[in-house]
Amino acid sequence: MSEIKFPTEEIKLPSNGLIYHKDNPLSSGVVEMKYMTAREEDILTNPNFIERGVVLDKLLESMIVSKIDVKDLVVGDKNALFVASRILGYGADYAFTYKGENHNINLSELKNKEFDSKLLKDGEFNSFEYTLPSSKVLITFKILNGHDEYKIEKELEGLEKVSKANSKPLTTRLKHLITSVDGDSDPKTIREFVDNYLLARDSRAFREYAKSIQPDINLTYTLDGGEEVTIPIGITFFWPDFEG
Amino acid sequence: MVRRLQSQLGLPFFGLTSKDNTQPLRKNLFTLIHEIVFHGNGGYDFDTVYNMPIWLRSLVFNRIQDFNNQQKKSAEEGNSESTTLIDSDGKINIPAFANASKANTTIRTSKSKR
Repeated sequence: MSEIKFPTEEIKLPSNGLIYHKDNPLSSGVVEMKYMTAREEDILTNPNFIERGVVLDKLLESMIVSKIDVKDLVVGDKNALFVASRILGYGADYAFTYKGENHNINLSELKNKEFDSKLLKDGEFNSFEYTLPSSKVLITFKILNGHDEYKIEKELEGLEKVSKANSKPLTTRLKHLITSVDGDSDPKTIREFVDNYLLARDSRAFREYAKSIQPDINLTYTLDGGEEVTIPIGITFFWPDFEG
Repeated sequence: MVRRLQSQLGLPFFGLTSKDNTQPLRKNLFTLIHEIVFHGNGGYDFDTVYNMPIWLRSLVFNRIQDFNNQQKKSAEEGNSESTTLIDSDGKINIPAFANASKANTTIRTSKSKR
């Protein structure tokens, strides 16, 4: 059977492609996606993918038409593509329950967070600087992508094998996030700094800063009463007709 | 081992974590595809429906369903209007018999005038 071509949509990335190397197709800032079909629904309900924790990556791999490596995507760009895939699959109307009340939102009205490209370190991509507020140590850091997440997951699995008490998801993540400490980019120095010298209040301030500057889709929604909530992504996000 | 999945959105990923949840959904999906292929009068094969955007698949399914419902309704209406000269008990249906006789008479009368 000849392959049937259906129209695709171009999705703008929250990062505008500015944090990818210029040789990476993602640096164009747009990704071409096809509409969701039974093939993607098949992926979303594949017990094997769900158990292995790869179901989301498999979904994006199937829907993205552009020649990119899904693992190159940073978290915020990936979030935007998930929302886009929901819209391309089941439309923009999304209902959720918050504190016992039902709310309906239009996902297409969600906006990308403004990404300030001036924060990028001169001449580099995906490299930012931050001076820790208490210790005044200058660090550089990057925004994690799928490759980093995979490495973190493997490292945590290894640590858990040694001892469950040894699993340190927060510091492990910080060790991958930070790329240099006072100009020293030796991984050994970074690990030692995170384990022994990084103050709790500095760590907290740094994490909040990193979160605030990273490109992402804005998932906050203002309820009728004025309360701002993060839109909960429930089972009906990809299965609107699901009756649990 | 069934893992609790964390989405990149920082929230548990829509709860599909076991075969108990996925099996009914998979069954519904493939039943829908079968219905379109089976009732589509040969217009659709499995691959075409499998690779059809969801909105288009829903449209096709609804149109086939509407068409079949309409056909069924027409057939039912046709059945209720039809009359028999002899009912299921073997008795003569007098009103129907009288109507049928009138119709025949009318035809004969019109022919005889010519």
